[in-house]
Amino acid sequence: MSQERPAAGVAAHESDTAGAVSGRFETEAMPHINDLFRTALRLTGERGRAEDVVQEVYLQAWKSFNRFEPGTNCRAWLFKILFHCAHHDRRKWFRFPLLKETEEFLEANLTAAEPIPEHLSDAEILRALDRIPAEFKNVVLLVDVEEFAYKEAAEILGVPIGTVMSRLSRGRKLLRGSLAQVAESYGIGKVQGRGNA
Amino acid sequence: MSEMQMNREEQALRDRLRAAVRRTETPPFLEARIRANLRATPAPARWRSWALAATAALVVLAAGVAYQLGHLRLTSASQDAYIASVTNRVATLMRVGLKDHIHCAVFRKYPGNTPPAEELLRKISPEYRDLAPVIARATPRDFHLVIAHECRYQGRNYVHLALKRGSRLLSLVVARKADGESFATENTLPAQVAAGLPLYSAAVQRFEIAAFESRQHLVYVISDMPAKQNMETMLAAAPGLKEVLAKLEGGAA
Repeated sequence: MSQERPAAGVAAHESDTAGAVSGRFETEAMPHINDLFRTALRLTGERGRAEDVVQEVYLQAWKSFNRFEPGTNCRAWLFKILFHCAHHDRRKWFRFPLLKETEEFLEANLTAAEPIPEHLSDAEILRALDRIPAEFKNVVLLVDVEEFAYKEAAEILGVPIGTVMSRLSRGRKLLRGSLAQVAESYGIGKVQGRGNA
Repeated sequence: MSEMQMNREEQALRDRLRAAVRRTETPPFLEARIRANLRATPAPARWRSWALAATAALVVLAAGVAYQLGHLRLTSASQDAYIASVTNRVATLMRVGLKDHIHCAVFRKYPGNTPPAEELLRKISPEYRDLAPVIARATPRDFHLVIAHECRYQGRNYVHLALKRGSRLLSLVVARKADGESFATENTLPAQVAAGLPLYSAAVQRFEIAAFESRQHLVYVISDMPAKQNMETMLAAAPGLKEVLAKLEGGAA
């Protein structure tokens, strides 16, 4: 990633304060593009929309960077904006699944712990992740993939910490179930998971 | 499956998931696009949010002032309610002058250019015009006449002269007595007696009231000056006012 200043084109006639802000944004915000993009891709499911969302995240962050307190967690702040933008993006394109549908999904999938098939590709794992409902997937992404603490995840999602913990637990179970189903559809699960190789 | 084995497997699942997600490639042009977007957007500045906050505060303040002005000046019902709430806190006869002072002098938008005193005095009956020089001599320097009129409020007629100095306001209010009205019969004790004339005083909120009575009139000096200064004005004006009114009433002062 280059170290070009984000507002280099206008920096020459900005005040020193604006220059300092620009420098701080470069140091604190710009290194997280990859993290934000891969999460945006999982949230939106499409590369084009993920690109748009990440651009919007950076635009929003730049506009309100004067409100970001130095020394606090910029990555968590950017993820909070990301989930906000992704939420709006989702509302623009899709209706949310009704709670009933989510419950039905859980009932159908929260079974006894499935053994995890060993020979699954990245694509199959991601496919399994994308199958689980958004509220559980979000927590799994933040805690297990991006390694945010429960408290940070709770602040990013704007939910109580207890909700994060319960969703994470259910999300992990759902992921196991989803992985088993994906594996089974490829004829892997039965062989590897049930030890009938 | 033992618990330890399950934990190991859970951890292995998390590692594989993390690795799979993190191997997602970010488009190389994305960073360039983001930078181009940011270049086209002005740098954030703290003063902008302060300016917005200050503007919002001003709007709220202006709305509050406008509401208050409307509340006090534009709605006659609310004016009456305010007058009643203030005047009810002084003795009955003190209310007579205070009501007119608030109604006519306080709730009034004064024009930028006040007409000359002679022009203002044409609005009152000739027999009362002599009150003007008396009160003008008694008031502190720089007060000038801004109102001279005869008015009616809540069924009572008044002769009202008001003088201003900056934001200070002083009224001379003269009202005809109704049957049986007298400070003496109302058991109000005079604040002092000047040349045999009992002077009464009261105060409520910022209004200072000094009053006396002639045979047919109740006479008030009401202002937002300090009590001592208001009473001194009345002391200076009372003999002359009494003399003017005595002529009107057809007897000696």
